[in-house]
Amino acid sequence: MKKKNGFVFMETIVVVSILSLTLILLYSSYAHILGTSKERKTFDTTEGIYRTYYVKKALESFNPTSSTALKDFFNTSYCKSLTSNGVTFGKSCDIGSTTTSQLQQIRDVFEVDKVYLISPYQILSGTNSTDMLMQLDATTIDYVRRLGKGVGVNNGVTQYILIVKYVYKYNNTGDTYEVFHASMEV
Amino acid sequence: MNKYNHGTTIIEILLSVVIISLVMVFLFTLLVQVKHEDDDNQVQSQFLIDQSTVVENVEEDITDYGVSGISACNIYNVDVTASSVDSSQRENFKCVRINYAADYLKDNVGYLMIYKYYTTYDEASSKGTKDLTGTESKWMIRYIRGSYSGAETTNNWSTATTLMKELPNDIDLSETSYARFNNIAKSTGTSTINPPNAAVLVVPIMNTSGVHYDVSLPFLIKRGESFTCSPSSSNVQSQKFSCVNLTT
Repeated sequence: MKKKNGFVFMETIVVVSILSLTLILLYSSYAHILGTSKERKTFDTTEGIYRTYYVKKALESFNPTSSTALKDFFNTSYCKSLTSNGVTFGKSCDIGSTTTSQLQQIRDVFEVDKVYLISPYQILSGTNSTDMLMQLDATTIDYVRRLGKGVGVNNGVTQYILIVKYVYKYNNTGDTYEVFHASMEV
Repeated sequence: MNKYNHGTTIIEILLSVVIISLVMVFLFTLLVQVKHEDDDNQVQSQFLIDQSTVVENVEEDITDYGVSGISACNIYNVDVTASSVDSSQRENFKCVRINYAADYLKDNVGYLMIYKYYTTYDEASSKGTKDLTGTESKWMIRYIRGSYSGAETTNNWSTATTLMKELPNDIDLSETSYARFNNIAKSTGTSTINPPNAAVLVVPIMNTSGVHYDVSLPFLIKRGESFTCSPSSSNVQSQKFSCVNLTT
């Protein structure tokens, strides 16, 4: 009499497996929520936006009379071009290792590590997107991806934005630090 | 009898229960983690909103009027009734004075304060008469801008703008951290700044887990403008405030 049978072991295993799969799916979605909220902690606070405003002003002070002062700064020898397949897609300046006194002020007081003049739209939409991203540092890659393709474009035309990478050393010894990014249209 | 006629054996049930329990343990751990993270995020979200409001208010004044000096201050310099401050935390009253540079500005003195105050204290109705012992107290960050009509005493103080925000419960400011003004050596003291300098005023705030919620106020000191930070000697702490000369 088949109807009188209880659950066989295989049936139990199948049920447990289905439950486990559901839990794994739940786990991954929770993990995603956790990851997103952790990321939110490190992006574009009000203080970061103000700080970026002053970083921009400080960089512009290198060419105070120019109407394109920020771009002029990125064209100086302090910065380098970012190129992929022979095409320049932006500029970057390594403030963290600078030996110029005025940039050292920005590094030490504003805790700036790097500044970029790039377009997330251009980087993320291009056919050689991976190659372009590989020329940024790891945390900046995450930040650019988070900004998405909708940033750095106006009516289909690429527009560069200023992205600043900060390394906050809370105790000034450098053994504990946090990385923040903030950006601003230019 | 057919061999499938029996139900599950005790071993099979036990094995199933063990597997489900293992999964439940992982799930429970995850839920605890999510709950903890959620609590943390709620506090942090609230604080970030408060922090943003404070930063925006002070930064608006800084960008509009410029800064000519930063200095230490205490409870007797500002319009805080001493008895409204939690008596056990009075020594941890943190105060930074910002002198604004704009010539046309009458209300050119700002105070940024953090202190623990009695939330039930009603200055208007209970001034000096209410027994405050044992009342609830909370940490608060407060920014005021105004002017003195004569000697710099609280009686002569007039407030033009004010902002008060209660900090989340898990904020602990009883440790000995102090507010600081970070700049490089040539930017402090009374010397004229040239070239323009980057500066940042930091009011450290930590939660009980050691996570930083600092109120950090960056600004630039313009070329040729006079600027003072007091106490002028680097790293000398006065009333929980210090001018820090960073070395490059």
